[in-house]
Amino acid sequence: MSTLATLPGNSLAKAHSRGSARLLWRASWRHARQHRWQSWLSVVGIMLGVMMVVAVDLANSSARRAFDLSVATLSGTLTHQIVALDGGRVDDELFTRLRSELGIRASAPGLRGEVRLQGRRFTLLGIDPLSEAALERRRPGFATEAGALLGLGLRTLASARGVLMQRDAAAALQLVPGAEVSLRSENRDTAVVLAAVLEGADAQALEGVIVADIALAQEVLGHSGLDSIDLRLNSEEAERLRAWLPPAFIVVDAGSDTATLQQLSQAFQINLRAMSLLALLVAALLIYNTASLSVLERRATLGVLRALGVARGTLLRLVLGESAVLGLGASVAGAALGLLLGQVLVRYVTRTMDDLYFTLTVTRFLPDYRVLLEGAALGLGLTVAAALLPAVQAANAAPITLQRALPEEYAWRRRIRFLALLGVVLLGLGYVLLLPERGSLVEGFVALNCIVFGFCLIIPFLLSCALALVLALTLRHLPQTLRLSLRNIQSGIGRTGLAVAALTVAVSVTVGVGVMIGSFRHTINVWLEQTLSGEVQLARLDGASGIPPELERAALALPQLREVRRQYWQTLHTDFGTVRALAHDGAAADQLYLKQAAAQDLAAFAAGDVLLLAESFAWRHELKPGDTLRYQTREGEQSVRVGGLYFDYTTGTGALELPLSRFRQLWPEQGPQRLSFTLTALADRAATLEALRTLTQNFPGAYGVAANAEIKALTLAIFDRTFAITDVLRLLAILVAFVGVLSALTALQLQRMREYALLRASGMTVGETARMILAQTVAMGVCAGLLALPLGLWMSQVLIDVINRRSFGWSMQHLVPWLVLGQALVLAVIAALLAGLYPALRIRRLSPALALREA
Amino acid sequence: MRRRTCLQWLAAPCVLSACAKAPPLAEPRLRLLDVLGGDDTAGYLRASAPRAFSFPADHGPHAGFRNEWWYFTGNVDTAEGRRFGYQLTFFNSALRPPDSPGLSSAWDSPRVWMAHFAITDAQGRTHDAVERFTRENPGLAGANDGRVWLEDWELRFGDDSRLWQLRAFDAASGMGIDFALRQLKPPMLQGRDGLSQKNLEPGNASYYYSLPRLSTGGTLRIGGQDFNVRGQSWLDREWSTSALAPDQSGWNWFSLQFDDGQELMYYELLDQNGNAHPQSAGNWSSRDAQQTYITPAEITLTPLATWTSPAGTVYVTCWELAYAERRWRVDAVLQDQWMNLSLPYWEGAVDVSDAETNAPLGRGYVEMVRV
Repeated sequence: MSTLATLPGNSLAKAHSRGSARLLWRASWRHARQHRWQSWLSVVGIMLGVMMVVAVDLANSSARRAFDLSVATLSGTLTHQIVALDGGRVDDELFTRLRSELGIRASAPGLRGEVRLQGRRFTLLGIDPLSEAALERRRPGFATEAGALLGLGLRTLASARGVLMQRDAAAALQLVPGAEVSLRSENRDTAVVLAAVLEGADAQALEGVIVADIALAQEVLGHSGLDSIDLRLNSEEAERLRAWLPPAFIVVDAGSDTATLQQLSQAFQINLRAMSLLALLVAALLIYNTASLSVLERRATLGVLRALGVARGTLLRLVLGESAVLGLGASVAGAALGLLLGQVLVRYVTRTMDDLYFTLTVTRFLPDYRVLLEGAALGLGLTVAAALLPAVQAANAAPITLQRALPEEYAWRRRIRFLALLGVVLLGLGYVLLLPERGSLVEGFVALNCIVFGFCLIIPFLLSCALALVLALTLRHLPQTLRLSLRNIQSGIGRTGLAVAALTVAVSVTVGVGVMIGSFRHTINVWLEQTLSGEVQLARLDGASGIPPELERAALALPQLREVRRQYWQTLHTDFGTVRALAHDGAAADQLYLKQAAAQDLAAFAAGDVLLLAESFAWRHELKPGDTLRYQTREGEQSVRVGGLYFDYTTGTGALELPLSRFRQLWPEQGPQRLSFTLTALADRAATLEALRTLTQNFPGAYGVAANAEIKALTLAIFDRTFAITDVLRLLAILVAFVGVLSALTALQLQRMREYALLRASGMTVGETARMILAQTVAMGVCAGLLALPLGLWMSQVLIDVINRRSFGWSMQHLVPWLVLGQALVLAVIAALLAGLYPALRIRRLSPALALREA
Repeated sequence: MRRRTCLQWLAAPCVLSACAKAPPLAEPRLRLLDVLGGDDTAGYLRASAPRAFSFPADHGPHAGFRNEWWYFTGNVDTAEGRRFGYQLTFFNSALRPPDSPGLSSAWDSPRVWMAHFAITDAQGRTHDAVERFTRENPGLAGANDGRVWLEDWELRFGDDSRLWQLRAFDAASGMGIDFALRQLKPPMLQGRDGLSQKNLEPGNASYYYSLPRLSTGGTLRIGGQDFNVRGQSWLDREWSTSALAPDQSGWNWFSLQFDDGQELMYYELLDQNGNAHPQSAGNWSSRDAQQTYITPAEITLTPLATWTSPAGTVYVTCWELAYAERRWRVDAVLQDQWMNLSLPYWEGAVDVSDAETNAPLGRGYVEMVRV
């Protein structure tokens, strides 16, 4: 019975609830339409934030997949490789012996090199199709339809000069099967025929690859021998192989070097990602601002609703729902835009990876569509989270409170102290997190975010104090409009404070990253100065036995050259992977940019007793002076004490400096890889370079000749290209902050229309009112600019000493480029000024009488 | 006869795909000439007229022809009477005519090589087969006047052409052979004086001889276990350039060694309907090595039992063979002697008995290929 009685009542309540919910939503819709500008700006802010995160994530994931694909395409699924101990080539006959004496069939020759086709760079991959079949190597582009590919491989083998290309790559060069083309490698051209094009789902992995039979590949590259013999072995077979292998060769685990490179390039990507998250943080502040403003503006409506009996939960849901709708629309749009921007950014990211770490065979955009969903979800989640506080405020306040005039402003004045306290705690936390010398990269970024967010929270309090101080000190000297402007900022501190905080964060990112890049560039410059001895460099490019002594003698016989320094290098297999072992003639201090080396250690180095480690290599493997490093030689394992560290900004798996005597002992046949010549006083540099180039043509091998200035310019060009992407991201962060400031100020000014109307009615002119508004935004811009300087400098310090160090093991000198600081200040002011323009223009159209009556 | 096998296997793309993956279950549809340039025989020598054979020189390679192979099959037993069959074959095929320009690289390979190796264990009722492919250079496979090899599988023959050595071990399957062979009868020249005409067009022929009886002894390894065995082997040697006849869909090949010292070789080519092709032919070798050419009209093959491969192809595993007023029954030692390789076919040890009395008369090998 009771059940029956309750049923109609429940349905009624539900119907009522549905009706009132519809009513509430309509009210929200109307409010949003009336405050179109504000709604749009919120949407744009979130959209930009999501766009950045999605774009950077997409670019990163695409680049990572390109990296993985490139590695997989060039190496495939291997377990081990046989390489030459001295980093040279593996004899062709070793493969035959491996097959016929040891019967290891899961083996294939590995050979690749760089070639140019119609001026475009490709990786020439030499394969033996029949060995590949026995190795059962799986690699993208080859995996599916292996039969078809190997059939094609056999056809190329049959035609003797046939090569294979990916379909799109061939189409881009307007090549069709049967086309005769010329491959250029080290100044030699070899005629080949495009035997067939590779198609299929994952053939895109071969975009930058030309596949040729191993015999043709050797012919094109102009040498015999292999890079490696690629193997798939179990541990027992590997042991058997090690016991059998001639001493000039070594069995290494496949993929250990690429793992290091991957780790390095990942660090680069984490840096980018952090920057995109900062932009989203700025966007979140903006959302918070919008949501709290909209609650504040509707205080009358909400108060009435509460008085009429609308439940707190309903209001909470209403405010959150509004934000969710805005957030959803903006996030979806942001994700879509991110997809577009990602395609631009990926070029920067892959270019950087290509420049610094690894020759990518795939550079196309490989979108991971989960990133779109994640980005949109992040945007939506942040929007709702940012609106939570205003929603709770709307729901929790009593009806009477909601109707009271400007209660929020008073509440804010109390709240900023609490926020400032919270900010100090966050700053402290960030500081503590940065204390340990070592730590993960993620911890570093958490600390950085604590600092940024903590600083953000302090800003309203700082701003309020600063304004109070300025007003107290200049009470009698400031013009009336300016005083009014400043007081306006102070009284609206809840919103102005947040707007200033958003702008501060955005501008501080510019300062932080700008200072970091400036310092880095400066350090690279110093390092190049220090390590590039002489004035003209002659280097052997084809990695053979070095520069023949006859060439050195012939060069020194040129009247323009007087002195020569020699640099040697070789591949060394250490406990910590493969590294480049270098040696110079002359004192270490003259050739290296030393970081840590005591005088007695340098003496020990000169005596051949210790070696010096590149700082980044030492950092990565936690090695320090006094430690011992073990490495493989033809005579067996040797170990040497680490005598000191030197700065090194080359990328790769690692480097170390051996005393020349020890280097010669290890590789007695190895000639110098680079000669640095000093010019005579009257020598013409260009003519000397030309003479050297002509000279090298008489000797076998490939050589490069360059002046130090050219090398420096090229290095810095690559450096600038690496950081070009950060410029794009900084610009976007500023854009988001600009939208934030615009939104906050517009709302603030529009809310104050009644006051302005009153001022206008009491005799203030349109111009005076507009100037007052602009003065106010400029003042906010100046504050943001000034506050951004300490935050930005702090950020740069964290980036230089923590993030870069943990990412790459590099340390660098701090350099404060004053220009960057000045630019930041100007940027903040301009952004604020622009944001004030719309309200200032709007005031011109204001009818005082109408505004007063409406209010 | 086995020219087709060799050509198709070496050339077919699916051969190589199967190397990279598990052998395919579906019967292949080979398109040999798509890959190897079809009927383009320009630049190669042709088998267009009878030639004088000279041994041991002709046991070695014949440069200038497109294809050549060394095909051993045999039946052996342990002292305790445990019976095995084996097959070891070296094939090679030229990728381009011998006088075409090559590359300077040590890997430049005008020829590719393939080897098949199989053992039938009659007692264990197993049949295992493996294959290898490789290019010729740098020294990975090849043939000279005393040796034919593919990596560590090899066939050696010395100045005394009557002695042979066969050696092949496969670590993955745990099987291998290390045999010494002695030629017991002179070479049996197949076709007309060793010129085996495949169709009416001149040059579409091969040079083909067999060593129909080789006493065999040595070690046979199966499942990692070594056995001392003795028995008899058969060697088929063939080299040619000519291409496939388009109207042929497969063949059945018999090499039978009778206990009374006589041998029979017969290949039945099948036309598109599965009927005997007029180019089918064979040879009978008497105890004193007198040879008699066999035409299709003189021989009758009647299937008595069949076995269906996992891929659905039906192979005859019991035949009645009638020739010169004699009737034999040819029974597969194991039903499943299916070579599940890149190109699947059936090749296995057989018993020969009197069709009426069931008295055992000999042993042999049968190959059935369906293209």
